Amino acid sequence: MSHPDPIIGVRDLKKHFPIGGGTLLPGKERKFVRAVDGVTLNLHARETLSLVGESGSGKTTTARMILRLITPTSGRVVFEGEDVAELRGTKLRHFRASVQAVFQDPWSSLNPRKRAESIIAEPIVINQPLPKAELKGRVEELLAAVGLGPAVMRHYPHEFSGGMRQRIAVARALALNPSVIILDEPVSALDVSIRAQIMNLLRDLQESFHISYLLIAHDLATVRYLSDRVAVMYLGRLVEAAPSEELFENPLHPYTQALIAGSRSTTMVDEEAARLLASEIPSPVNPPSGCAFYARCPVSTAARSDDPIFYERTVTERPELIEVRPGHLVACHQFDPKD
Amino acid sequence: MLEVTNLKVHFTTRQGTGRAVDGVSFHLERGETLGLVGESGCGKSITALSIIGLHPRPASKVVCGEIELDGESILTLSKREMRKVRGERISMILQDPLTSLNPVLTIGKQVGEPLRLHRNMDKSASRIRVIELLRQLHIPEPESKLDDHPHQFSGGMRQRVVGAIALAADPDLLIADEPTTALDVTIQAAFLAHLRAVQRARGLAILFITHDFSIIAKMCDRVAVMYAGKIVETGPTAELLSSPQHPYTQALLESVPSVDRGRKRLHSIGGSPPSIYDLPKGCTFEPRCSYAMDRCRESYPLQFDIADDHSVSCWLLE
Repeated sequence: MSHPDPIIGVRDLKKHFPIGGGTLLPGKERKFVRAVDGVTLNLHARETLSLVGESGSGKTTTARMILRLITPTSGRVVFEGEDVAELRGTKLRHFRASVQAVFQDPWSSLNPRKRAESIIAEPIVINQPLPKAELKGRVEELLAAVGLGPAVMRHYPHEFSGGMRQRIAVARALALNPSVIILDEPVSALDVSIRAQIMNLLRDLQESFHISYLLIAHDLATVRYLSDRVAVMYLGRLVEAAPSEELFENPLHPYTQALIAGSRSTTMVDEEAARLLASEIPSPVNPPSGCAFYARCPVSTAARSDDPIFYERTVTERPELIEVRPGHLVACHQFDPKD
Repeated sequence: MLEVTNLKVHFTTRQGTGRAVDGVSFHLERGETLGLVGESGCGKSITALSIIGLHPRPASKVVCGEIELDGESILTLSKREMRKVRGERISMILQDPLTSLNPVLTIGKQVGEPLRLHRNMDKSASRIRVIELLRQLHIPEPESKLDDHPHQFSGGMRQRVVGAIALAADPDLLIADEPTTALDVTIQAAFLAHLRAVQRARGLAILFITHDFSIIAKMCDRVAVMYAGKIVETGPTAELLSSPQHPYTQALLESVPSVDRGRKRLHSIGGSPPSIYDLPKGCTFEPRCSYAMDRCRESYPLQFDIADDHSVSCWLLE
């Protein structure tokens, strides 16, 4: 957060999806799923910022709002100093070219009826048309960048393995020299030995093309390998954000601690912690008024008998995101200086 | 307790003969957990399915080998006898809790089914037992959930229900095929802790199939690494993870990131596994192996025992 100008700034972003019908009935209130409920983030040049959290925590919805694929309920996404929602014409096209995405499933993100050559060339044809001969050269260049030979150009997606398809998806994302690539679970559909190839490729490409990555992943080992900074989401909100090293060495939020302990090969959670963690994630339709994690939190649960005042706070008062150390933010009553 | 010897399961298709499982041998004792690791397509799931006689038929066939449960061959059992083995002695948890439950039956009916069919319990007795089972797996207020249907449960709860079904008839052996892959990390940690507790209480043997080494390290006493239908290395978990001997095990371990490893560059294995329809003549890993020698191309390596219970199929260890 020492850099002055982020490439992408997310300001108090919210997305509430309406559920059910019944708005015509007088007196009946419309219900909403608070998928994303006030997220603020900065993505800086050449860095990898990861969004982690369990399914339903709102990380993909946040990414889709950043890509301007869905409209936020409130809040703003700022790209190079301008509100993305306001972009029109050339500026919008510049945004679309600069912010690219690679999705989880390379089986569904490539058009099965097109050859690799036209899949990779398509963004160029649409946005920055080139003469035919040059176009072919550019596709070859992109293929080389992702470690594939020119021979694959003539082939269709079904002829490739998962790893090769994901390379083609990355080549397509690189086609317009983007400054940002959003990676939504880029390796989780791939086999173990192929994952390492793609993760190394992503790191090399970042180095040579100076791209910023916003990585969405639930596998913390992948996150640790690729990220500079990590933001942890729970029920639509950020609960902790810190430089990667700091977060993994010194996680503060009990939820982050549980996530890391769960991913470690050496720690086995005990029965009591398991029972707590196994309790359900609260509904994003009626999120708890206090800390969203309190019912699963060992600290809050212990305080129930030891420190009723603290317990009461976790149940009734929503913790604010506070910077406890330079760059390390956490939303937990334990670290709130108001005490 | 379970002894698998030189098991071969081959597929016959238009492409020819696919050697999905090609000479697999291992044993599993009471109360023990054996991890079976490998990439997709290496034959680990087919190995597991053939133990309970549910490998896809007629496409695949056990062409040779022996599977013994408590010294008794289960390959020659009739369909009826095999059904009894599946109900009473061996059970299985599959990867995807969304598809392994019947959407039109209530949770109570599905968990109670093995009790009624294999333990001759009547409705009210099985109901009491089902509530107890669900409570053991930390399903809150189990009494009120018996008449719910699977869609009313979250993924983590459904997998616990699947676990309850598998454990209902109190089996001797549980085969768990990637049981936590579809779950979130915290729910996964909780599920594994429950499984361990049940195992300790009942002396259950578990065959744990996974590709995740962090789960292997937590759950398994011994590990067998599979590649292209064969077990290439097997040994006690701690020893195998700290000093892997087969080049494939070494490469695999160096290619997985871990939360404790940081950003140190991963070594990736070039190429991809061979097709089961066209396996190399010699060692199946030879085309991707950085230590490959002439003799690796000529014949598949023998199995060398390098320590107690630690054996490796690689010519380097001769």
